[in-house]
Amino acid sequence: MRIRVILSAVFIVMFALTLVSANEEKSLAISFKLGYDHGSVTNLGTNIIETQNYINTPVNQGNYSLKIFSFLNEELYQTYFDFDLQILSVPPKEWFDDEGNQIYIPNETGTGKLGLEKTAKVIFTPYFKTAKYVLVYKDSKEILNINLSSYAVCNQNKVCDNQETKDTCSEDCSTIVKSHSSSFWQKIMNFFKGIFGMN
Amino acid sequence: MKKLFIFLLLLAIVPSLVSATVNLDFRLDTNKKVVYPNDNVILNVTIVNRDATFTAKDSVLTINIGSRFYTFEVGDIKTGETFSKEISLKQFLPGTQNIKGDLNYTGILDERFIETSYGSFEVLFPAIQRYPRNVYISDYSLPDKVFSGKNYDVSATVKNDGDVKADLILEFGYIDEYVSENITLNPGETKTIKRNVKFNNPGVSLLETRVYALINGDKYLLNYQGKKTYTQEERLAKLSFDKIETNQNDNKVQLKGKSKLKVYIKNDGEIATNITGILTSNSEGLIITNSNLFYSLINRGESLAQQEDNLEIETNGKNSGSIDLSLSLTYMDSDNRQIKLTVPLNINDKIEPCKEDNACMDTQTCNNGVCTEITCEDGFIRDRQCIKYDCVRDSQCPEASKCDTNIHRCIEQTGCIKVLDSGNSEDKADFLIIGAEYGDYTELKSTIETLFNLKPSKYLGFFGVEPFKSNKNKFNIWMIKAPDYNTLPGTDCSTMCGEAIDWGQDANYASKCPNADFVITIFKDAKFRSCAGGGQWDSLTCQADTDKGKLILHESGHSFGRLADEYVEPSLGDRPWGPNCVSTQQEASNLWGNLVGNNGVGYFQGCSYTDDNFRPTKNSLMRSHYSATSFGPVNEKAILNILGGYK
Repeated sequence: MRIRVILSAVFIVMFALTLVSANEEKSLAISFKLGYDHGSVTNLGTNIIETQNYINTPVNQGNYSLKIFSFLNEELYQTYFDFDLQILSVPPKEWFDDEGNQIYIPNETGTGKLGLEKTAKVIFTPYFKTAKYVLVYKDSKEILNINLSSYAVCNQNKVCDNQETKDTCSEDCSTIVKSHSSSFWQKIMNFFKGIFGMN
Repeated sequence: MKKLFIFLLLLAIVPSLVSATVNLDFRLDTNKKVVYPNDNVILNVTIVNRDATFTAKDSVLTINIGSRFYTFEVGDIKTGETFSKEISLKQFLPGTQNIKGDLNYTGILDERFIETSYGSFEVLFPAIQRYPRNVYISDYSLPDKVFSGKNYDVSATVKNDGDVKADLILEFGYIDEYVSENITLNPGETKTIKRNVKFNNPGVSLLETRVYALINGDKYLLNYQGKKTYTQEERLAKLSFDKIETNQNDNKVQLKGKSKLKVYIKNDGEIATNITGILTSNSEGLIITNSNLFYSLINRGESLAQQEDNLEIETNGKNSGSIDLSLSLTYMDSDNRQIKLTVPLNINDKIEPCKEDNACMDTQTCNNGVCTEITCEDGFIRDRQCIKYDCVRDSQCPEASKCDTNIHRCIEQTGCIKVLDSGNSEDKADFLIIGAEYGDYTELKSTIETLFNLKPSKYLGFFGVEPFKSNKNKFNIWMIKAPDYNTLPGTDCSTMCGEAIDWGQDANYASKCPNADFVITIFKDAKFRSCAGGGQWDSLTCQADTDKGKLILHESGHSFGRLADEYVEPSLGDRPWGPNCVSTQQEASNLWGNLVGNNGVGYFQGCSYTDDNFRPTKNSLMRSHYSATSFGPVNEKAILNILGGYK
């Protein structure tokens, strides 16, 4: 009887673990640490990191953008971002009475020091096995190039080389068969054939 | 003139592009509108191409009457051309017969289109006494797939639900080609008739079983059931074992060791086929690896080896001579089929010395006549070279990282721990709390639980205040300790945070927590004037215990709620912004006029950071978090708008 109870408990624990692991879908992300110093942007470090269930979806607004490109110079990913330079400070307790009336107002006037001139930001993107480099733009002007080729496992050179295998780089390590179907241009050609009575 | 021509051309093209159909006039008419079941009806089909430019290409006409259909190849109908056809229809069931015609053709941009037309006629019951109206086919069996010339079992169950004894004819087959059997059914009687029938009509046809009343030598259709079938010639692939090729002499396999194998299959049949197979052996001491085989299309008369080049046989030296392997093949010709073939394998009776690397497996080299396995730790063998991976185990990676064995790269491990788990991060607002100067997770967790009211506390915290209180399920909270987070020396609680913090350190910790949307850094000991921007930096030691949780609320009002400060500090300039601080009463009225009078909402002067600007309430957490206990209606509404983006 005791053995049956123990076996049942083991089974339940195993089952629960299976459920937990099934729920945690793991994927890889790249983290970019970008430094900002008086308008200059630098790469403070890049890493591959494991994530569970989630990677930030791309943002479509911001003064800066980050684009990931493949070895074939295809754009794989793009997101926008900003450095948060405005700082809002909490007021001291002595400035208020218990009703929330501001009983002290500092005399100084001016534009004040609200902004930062130096900060850093982390951006996460999905991991791409064919990612070669990243370009960071400020208002459409390229300001930073980060090499990602050491993280890539498939260099898209049509040669099965380095550490590439069929599993990691099928496009270089096996034959690719492309199917051809009636293209848009063929359809347009047919359209003009129709116009000029060439059916 | 040229512009006018282009304009007219566009005017002609654009409507055509929008609707790429051809302008067709498609009509169906019958020569009679009211008939008896055995009358002949002529259906006239007329299709006129009224399009000024385009041809309706590869047209196919299908006429459906009830479940019956007739298909005709029409071909191309050019501009101005008319296609006409007379179709003779016969044998109808009494009632309304609806006709539907579908003309399927290729239009202007190579897309297929269907033009449909309708018609109908009435079929009267014959004026015959004791006409058996209630006889029908209650069940039937006809083949789904038909090969011409082949026999099939068919059956039909006929039931007489009427009160008239019925002499009947039961037919199986096409409209014009069938076998029949006469039966008689008394009222209430049911009979099942089975026949073995050969069908010969090629192409798409309607295969039916029909029952007729036989009255005075004439037959009247009472009921029919049928299905659309495609009848074709049965064409078979005929597969046999052809030969074996190995990487050893005489296409044998080694007495002891691994050999590569190619198994050739020949097709002597009438049709090409793809094949999948599995190679097995009953012999002891013989191991087959990669035994699942795939053969691409083997044409008639062709012999092909399997596509994969990794089929291997490993022998242990105890087998020699000839042994038989079994190859089970699955393929499709006219039908899905399986076949089992015998594959004779010849094993060397002595160990043959190799002469070159190619006589050995891909993972071996030939050394002094002996195939020797290439040693390759932490990598794989390609072209008989050992290719080393960057990493294969965690110990090869730096601290706090591990080896991902899919890409063989060291990856950073997630460094944050969940404190509040409300579900998948994709739908939630994920806060990361960086515990600056905390060396112990127990202490950090306890502090977070107090600040956020995640455990009973006498102090007001994040989830003790609306609208966060009612939306706790929209938040996940993560934590990471940062014992080495540096602050600059000599600061006190009046030092502006920008002068107390060594900026950029948050990024080191935030980069370990990919799920985080918002970062809050709480400092255990460092003294400075807390602040917020993209994140927030909270000096807990500069706040009384009663105010620490409300400090987080004030700063989250900035970083999460995008709210302005509601106090005055002229040295910071005049900076009205956000949903809670504007420069004129008119703007204030536009933003929160509809809430004025509700829970203290009005137009109060003093915010961000001059007395000239207007705020919505006398006090709030965005003004003096020390005395306020709520954000106030206007700020709550603004935060709720943001919370609406989370589930």
